[in-house]
Amino acid sequence: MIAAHTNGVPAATGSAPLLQLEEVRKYFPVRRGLAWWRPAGQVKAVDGVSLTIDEGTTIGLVGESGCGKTTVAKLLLLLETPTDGAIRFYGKDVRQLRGREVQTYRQTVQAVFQDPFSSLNPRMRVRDIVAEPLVVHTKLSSQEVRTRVGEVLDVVGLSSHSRDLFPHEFSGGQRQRIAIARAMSLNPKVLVLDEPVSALDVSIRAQILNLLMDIQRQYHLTYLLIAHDLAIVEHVSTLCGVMYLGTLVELSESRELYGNALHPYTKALISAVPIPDPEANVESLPISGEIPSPLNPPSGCRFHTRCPFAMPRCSAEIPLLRAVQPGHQVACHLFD
Amino acid sequence: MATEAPARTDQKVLTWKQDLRWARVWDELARLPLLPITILAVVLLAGVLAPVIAPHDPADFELNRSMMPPAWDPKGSPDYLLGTDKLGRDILSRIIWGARISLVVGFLGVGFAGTVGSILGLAAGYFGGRTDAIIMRIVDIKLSVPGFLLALVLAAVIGPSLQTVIIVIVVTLWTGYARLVRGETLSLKQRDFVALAKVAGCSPVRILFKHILPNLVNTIVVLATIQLGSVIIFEASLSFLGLGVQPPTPAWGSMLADGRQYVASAWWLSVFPGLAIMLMVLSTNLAGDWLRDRFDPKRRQV
Repeated sequence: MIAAHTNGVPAATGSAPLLQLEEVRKYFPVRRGLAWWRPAGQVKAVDGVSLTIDEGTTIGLVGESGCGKTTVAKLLLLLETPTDGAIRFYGKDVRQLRGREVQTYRQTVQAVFQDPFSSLNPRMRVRDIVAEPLVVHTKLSSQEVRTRVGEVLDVVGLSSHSRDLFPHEFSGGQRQRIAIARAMSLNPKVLVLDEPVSALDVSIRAQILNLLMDIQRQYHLTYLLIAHDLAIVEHVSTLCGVMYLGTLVELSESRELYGNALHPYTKALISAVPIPDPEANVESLPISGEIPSPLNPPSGCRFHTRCPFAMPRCSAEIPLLRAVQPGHQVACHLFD
Repeated sequence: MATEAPARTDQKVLTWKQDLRWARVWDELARLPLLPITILAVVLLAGVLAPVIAPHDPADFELNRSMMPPAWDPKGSPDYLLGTDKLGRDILSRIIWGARISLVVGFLGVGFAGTVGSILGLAAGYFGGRTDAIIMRIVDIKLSVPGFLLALVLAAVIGPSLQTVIIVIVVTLWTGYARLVRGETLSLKQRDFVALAKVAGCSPVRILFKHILPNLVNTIVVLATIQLGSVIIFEASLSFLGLGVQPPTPAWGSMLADGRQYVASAWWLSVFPGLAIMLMVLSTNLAGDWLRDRFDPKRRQV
């Protein structure tokens, strides 16, 4: 039903993965006081994240708020430029994309954000919201744009009557459907989903998640799913990464991660998920304290200030993310 | 799909919704501030139709009939409803023609100031950095110079005329729009739909004019309406001082100034143009307040 409207998407060149993050860092300068021209420090929002996103997979990223998940999304969407490291699109550094290549990248990578009330322009009608990427990128006639808008609205389960309405006339779940329709209008390959259901009512979450999974199956999409809800990520994603204070501490296949978490932080996160069974015997691993400031992160392993298994080595040496089992990477000195 | 059925609106619901829309339009009409709107409409009509409805030529002087009081005075004449001035010109006709000047100065002045100020404010807020610093420093410098002094200097340098008045008004007022629009732009550009517009590949120009400006139009229109009143006062003040529209073109401010020396003997020379200014400014201010309440969801009663 959906014809390939996108043109110029480069064919997979050799074995280069669709998207690849290489030791990506993003520091935000903090300016304070009278000397506003001299940064008083840096917030290390993302500090050396490496991740490979293969076609057709869903990669989940979980972590507390402030751990840099959203910054990773913004970097991938070219809304921020990395301070260091590279994001590669079929092997090519996105900073070297020029002109038409940037447009191609934009057509390939689309996004759905958390807040459905802020992500739709209140002054535009649904048809214009959904059609905008088409208008910007293609030379389709207005009739073709109309047809295409009808198609994607149908895909997300909205009637074509809704095309003439304004966003405020919809509920949160329906608004999120509009946002998905807009992201789908160019037939992209990658959707960056930044907490796509966190702002929704619990009863609506499953519907939107199922819709996303259906669309993925139907159009062979690749997802980067950012969430703080572990259950959602486990349910939806193939690979799952856990972030803490700007770094990736564990990366593994989802089922493996939930069944056999290695990093103490991941264990703590999983044990914090309530289980609706009073008889269940779960290993409880409480962690104490607050998440440290990313302005001045702890030395060595960033988790050592809160880790129940911290050793002297942990505060001195930064643990590297490495495979301890096939397909299961963890950054922790306990597994050296 | 029990709780949230996808919006398969059927035709019946839709027609009902359209009915509702008409009901809303009627509701709005019923809530219009009648008095200010009527006064504005009268002034607007007077300005546009001045050649048709003015009973006399505003510049037609005849010393024989100078200083005639209004028609209801025993010494007055029904031909000259609001009396005549020292040169025997019909005051009513001059007020009707003067509405033209006030309207032209008001709308053009506010229009140009709003356009210039909004564009600079948008650029400053959206691009930030050096653009922002330069534009806002110019605004600060402008705000540190007393407005009327600047107006006097400009009028003296360029020479008093209608164009000068408009230029003076634009130079004086654009900063208000620049500040307001910059602030609103700063908060709007943080919204997700602006980030998503970038993700969709929109150019900065498209983002500014399709996503940010439409969300600012309300604010700009409210400011413009409220400023219309002060612009009219400003024009009147300049004309009063002889720096505005030059005689024999009738302007409310210069009529007021002409009548000043005869306030004791011939009050109608200054009272009627004064009343015209007051009513016009009062009604634009009331209309502006109404618009502000209308556009502010927090003040709007459902």
